[in-house]
Amino acid sequence: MSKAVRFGGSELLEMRLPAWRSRFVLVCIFLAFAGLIARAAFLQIVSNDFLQEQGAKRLERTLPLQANRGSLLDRNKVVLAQSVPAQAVWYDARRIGEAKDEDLRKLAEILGLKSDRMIKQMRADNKRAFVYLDRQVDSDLAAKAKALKIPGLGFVTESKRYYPQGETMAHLVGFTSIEDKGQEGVELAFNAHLTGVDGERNVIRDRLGNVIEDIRELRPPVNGQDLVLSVDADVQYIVLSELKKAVQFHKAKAAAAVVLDAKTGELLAMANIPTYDPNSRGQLHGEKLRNRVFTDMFEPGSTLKPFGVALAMNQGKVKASTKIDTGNGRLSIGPATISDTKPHGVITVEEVIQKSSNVGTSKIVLEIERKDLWDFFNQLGFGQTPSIAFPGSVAGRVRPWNKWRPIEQATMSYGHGISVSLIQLAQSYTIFANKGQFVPASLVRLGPQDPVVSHRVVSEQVADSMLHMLELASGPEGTAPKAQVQGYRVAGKTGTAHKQEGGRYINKYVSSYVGLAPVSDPRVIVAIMVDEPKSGVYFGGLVAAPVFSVITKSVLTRLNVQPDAIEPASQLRKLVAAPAGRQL
Amino acid sequence: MGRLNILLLALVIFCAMVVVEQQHAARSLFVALGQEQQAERQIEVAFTKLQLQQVTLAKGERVDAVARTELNMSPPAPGSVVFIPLDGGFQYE
Repeated sequence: MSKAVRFGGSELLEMRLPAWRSRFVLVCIFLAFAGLIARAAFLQIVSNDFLQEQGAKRLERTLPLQANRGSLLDRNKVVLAQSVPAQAVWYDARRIGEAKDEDLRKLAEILGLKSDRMIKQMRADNKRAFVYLDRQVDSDLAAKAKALKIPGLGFVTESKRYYPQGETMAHLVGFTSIEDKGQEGVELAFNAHLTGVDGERNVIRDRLGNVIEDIRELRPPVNGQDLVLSVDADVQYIVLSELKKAVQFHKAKAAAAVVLDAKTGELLAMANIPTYDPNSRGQLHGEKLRNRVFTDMFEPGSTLKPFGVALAMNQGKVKASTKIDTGNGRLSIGPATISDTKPHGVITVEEVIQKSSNVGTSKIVLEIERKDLWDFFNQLGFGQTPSIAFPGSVAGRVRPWNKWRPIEQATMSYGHGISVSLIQLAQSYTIFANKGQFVPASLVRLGPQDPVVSHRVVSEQVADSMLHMLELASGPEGTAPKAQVQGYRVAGKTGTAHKQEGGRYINKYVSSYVGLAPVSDPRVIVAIMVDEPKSGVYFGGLVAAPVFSVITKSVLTRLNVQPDAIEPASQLRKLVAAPAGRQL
Repeated sequence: MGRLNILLLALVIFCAMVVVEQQHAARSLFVALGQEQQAERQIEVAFTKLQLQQVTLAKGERVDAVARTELNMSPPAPGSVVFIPLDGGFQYE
């Protein structure tokens, strides 16, 4: 075997390939890598920002965290206004065309809308990208609507404000706009206090829409603060329902009432008739929104008499027992004549108040210097911007003293030619309840530590003496025996003022009554005003005083005030039958 | 030397798996937390609604109406109320 058999090897393998070929492949591979590196560098360095932004757009979300508006509570923490999250339903008109009529009909049913009209409206245009379909939808209903999965239909969280007390609290609490901003009443006055600050949260969401990571620290929402008002919901209800009855009975145009805590000036109730329900948004316009307690001025009439007389007594011009000659009930000052309803002859100052004599009051008040009287009115808050920051509250009108003519000073003494609001009138009576100290009214509940701000207006003796006169005025010999309340001693003053129209007094009246109870230690001041009673009677003693009586009785019972006019035991014996087997 | 490298490589791979696993667990928990928070908010809303409902049911207007119509109650007439002093002003003999 000269020639060995070769099993391995091949001729092909024996061939030497040209060196450039392997180098070529190497270069290609190198170039491919270089390309990759260049691409990577391009993505990482040059278009980094763009890509990150796009990534964020796809995964990052900023979620709003809604802050709640603070609740309004009454003095016993009963809810007067509260916000509840709700949903606004909107649609994209460009996409709503894809929705099935059948689904839209179901949607209309859930939202309580008329389906034909709704569908027609939704189909009417196809350009606008955002159209509200319904606002402030209850979140349960919105969840049902969401479940229909209608293309082009969207939801936004918002909040809806509820007023569980309805019309009872309407004028005091006011209402908010659909954007949850205060529009009227306390909602407007304390809007900044009640409004919260929305927060937000930046998150990463996965493909399914789940939040998987917070990417920045969240900014928590700051809820609005709750506000505890001085009002008592039960007292308020009593006042409103009695006022309603009075308006119906006397066929009056309107009526208003205020109940103040006599010691602290806290507003316990404030009612207006006509009233409205702040929950039904369609109603929120017109005359019924008018708040006669704060924003209306009226000529108070005789309810102002105690003040001029109190000042005269404070200055030592007269005493309670000083005799005043009211003559035949007519007094001429210049061309004008002041008259009483009937002649009273010579009467004491006490009787002037008790009988409500215009002539007597005028004679007493004409003794006072004009400026002193003007200052006194200012100290009582008349003509002054009210300390309560209630929207639209008026200062009243007291003309500057250096322009007064004697007749004006005289008419002002019995409440004509001067205008005040009912809240001003009520708070001015605090001087008789607090031994001469004036206490301004307050809308917010005062805590036990909060000091009661007050200033002295008349001396203690004068205030007590006037309180006694006011008690006489509501007694059997006074102008308002109908103001009496069983079990309690009350004091107060009637007012019957002609209304002015176009600068002239006409035969339309405002009947009013301002009183306080119980006299032994006054707890409440109640002011009633009935506008244009048309049942035939219009005197304050016949129209407003009975309302005062029923309201005061219920309010004192509700506040657990101990009666101070209990019949002596001997009287009780006649009334109460002795239990069997016992002698009384 | 070679063994150590293999050991370290195995360790690295193990750690990497643990990281992936933990990341996933963290995200799942985060989602669960989010759902619980959502539930909490819903309960809060429900509570607020119930509070409102309670106030609506207990308000003076309704109590008054129910007392008058369903329970046939009425305030006592003025003549039928007798105030009795507590402090011994009235006693049986």
